[in-house]
Amino acid sequence: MTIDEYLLRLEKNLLMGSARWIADFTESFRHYKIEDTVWDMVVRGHMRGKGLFLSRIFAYLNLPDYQVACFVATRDLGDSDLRGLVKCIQGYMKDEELDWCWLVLPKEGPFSSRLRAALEKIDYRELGIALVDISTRQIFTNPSYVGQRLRDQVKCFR
Amino acid sequence: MKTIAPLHIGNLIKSFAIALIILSLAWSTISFLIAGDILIIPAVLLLNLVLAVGLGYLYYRWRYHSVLAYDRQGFQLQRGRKLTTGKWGDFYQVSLAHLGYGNLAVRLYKVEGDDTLDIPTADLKMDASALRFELMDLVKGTPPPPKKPKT
Repeated sequence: MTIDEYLLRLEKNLLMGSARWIADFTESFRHYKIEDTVWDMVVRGHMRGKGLFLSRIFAYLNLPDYQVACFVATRDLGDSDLRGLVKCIQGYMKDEELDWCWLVLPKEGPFSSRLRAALEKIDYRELGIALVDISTRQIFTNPSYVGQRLRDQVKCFR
Repeated sequence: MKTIAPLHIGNLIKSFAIALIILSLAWSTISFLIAGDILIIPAVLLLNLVLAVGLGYLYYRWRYHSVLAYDRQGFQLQRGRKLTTGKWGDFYQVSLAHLGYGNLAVRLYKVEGDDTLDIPTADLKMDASALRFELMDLVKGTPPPPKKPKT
């Protein structure tokens, strides 16, 4: 599987697949520029789903209307680049009033141990990060709850 | 100019069903008012079916039928009776939007105003993702609008 194929599958999973149990992702942008960073994909959504009559009432009464996003970058990263991306996302979250975000970093090949160690240290409650090695199908996430929930959503290899 | 104008069977069946329900209700009301009972006459049922096919097709053309014609300069999008024309230079961003119930659309962002335009790829029976990449190429040169100062 190539990176482009993986992005298409991830996008489909976020918009119409199992990720909809977590958030209603409604819009996907490719090559999306935020300040000086160009993201390969940014998917925006919110947590209050629509549905038909009863499910709409249920969602309105029970679910918080959190604004959410999923960022995807496919370039080769060092641990300082990872911190830069996290900083960019935090700035965007503040500007757009987002409540939580996912960051997915897919790559064909293994990630360096320094990057994995840097990932372990990122423990922001509102940010989930996944390193996805699409050749071996290995996934590493940061320890936050949002990061743990991301693991199942990025497993779209077939 | 490349033109896409497929017949959407799902919307056609929906239109036919709407016409049939309205005709059946109309016949039931008329027969009840005249004879005091809802009369079931095979010839009338057959006539209702034939009329529903014709009226359903007209309703489909009036409400749902989608046509997209485009070239490298601009496009024409017809959705039912509503016709929208535009130039790619009027738009600066393209996204893939999920409208619900598995329906995808390609969303175009206008440079002027906060307007967006959705191209209903499900109704046009097009691959939404492929069209999105094609349109991203066509709007690539357009600069985004200046950022609004935060209030």
